[in-house]
Amino acid sequence: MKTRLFATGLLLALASAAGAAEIHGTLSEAGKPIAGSVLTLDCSGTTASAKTDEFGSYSLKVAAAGECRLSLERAGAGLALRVTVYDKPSRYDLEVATEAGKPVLRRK
Amino acid sequence: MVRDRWDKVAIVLQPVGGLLTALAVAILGFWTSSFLREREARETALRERMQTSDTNARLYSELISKREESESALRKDMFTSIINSFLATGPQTLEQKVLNLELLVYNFHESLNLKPLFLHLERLAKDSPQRGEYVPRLNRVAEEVTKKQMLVIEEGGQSFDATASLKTLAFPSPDGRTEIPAISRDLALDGVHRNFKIEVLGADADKEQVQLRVTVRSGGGSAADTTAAEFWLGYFDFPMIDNIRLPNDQRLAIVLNNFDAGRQSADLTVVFFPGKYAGLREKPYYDEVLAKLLAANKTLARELTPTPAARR
Repeated sequence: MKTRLFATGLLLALASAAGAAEIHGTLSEAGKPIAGSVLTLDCSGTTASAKTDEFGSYSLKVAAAGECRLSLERAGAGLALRVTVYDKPSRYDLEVATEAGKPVLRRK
Repeated sequence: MVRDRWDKVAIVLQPVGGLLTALAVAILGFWTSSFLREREARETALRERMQTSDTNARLYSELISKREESESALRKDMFTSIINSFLATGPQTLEQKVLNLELLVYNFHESLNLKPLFLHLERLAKDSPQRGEYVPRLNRVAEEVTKKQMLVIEEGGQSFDATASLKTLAFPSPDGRTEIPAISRDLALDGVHRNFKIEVLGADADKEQVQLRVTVRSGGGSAADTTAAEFWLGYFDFPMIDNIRLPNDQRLAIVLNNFDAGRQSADLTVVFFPGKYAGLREKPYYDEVLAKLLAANKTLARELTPTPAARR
């Protein structure tokens, strides 16, 4: 009985934590949305991935908050950005730009 | 005497000449009168159509103005009764007060700055045993209204987001390795270019507020006009109402999206938008209205003046 109660409690805690943190926004390059790209959010080992839709929109939910790393594979290059994930949803509108001849991922 | 063909025709036509002339005059008269009649009928129909259109427009504007009047009266009564509930003495539960604030916010968030009332109720809620219920409820209402307002003003303006570290009072770089003391962006709206620089001066973890300095530079080079403002920003600052007024009927608002005291981080959105999207509280500057009207008149006059090619 105790094990069952503990398992239920753990499941509930995980479920509530899973819905707690979210980042969302759009991904674009030169003002045009990037569709079908996979974005990965890594928060100290807890990861979540999502593909951008036809308008470049994405939404990522993780069961963790704090400093995280958002990465994107683009034309063979691995681009990354440090993001802060809060308990409430945060918007990160991203763009792929070129800085010093290199592609970078940055917040718009 | 030999008569040619024309003489024969003249002999034949002489008796009927008068008759033909009369017939021609009658046909011409009939044709002219029917042409005039048709034209008059056309003009009458056009006049009637214009009159009907004028009558419809007048009726429509009267209906709109009547509806505006009755809605204003209803809103005035509603506003008076809700605001009196806050000012009147006597027992009132926190639930009633929060409910009244919700009514005010959802109905008047574009016309009133309700920050003082939010802060007052937040203080009451924090001292109450039901703190856990009412503080999140107030925050939820504020967040909802801010999001609604942002949806409108971002549509008409330009914006950017930034995350600030409250520990170092700086903005981390994209890779997170370095930090910059201020974030600066160039934004343009209706042909007016401005540079916005945001600095974090302080943070209040208890009140969940950040102190900011905003520097706005308009124009360029030595002719640049610089203005700066310092203020505290919290969840109850609504962008449509609480914004910085700039020349050319433009506004700058900053919204606090997230404040994490534990992780010492705050997420902001800076939005530069036209004054027409601002709340109804502010009156327009009359000289700016006049300048806009004169510019519109000039454009209209240019459009109506025929070009040399058209004159030819």
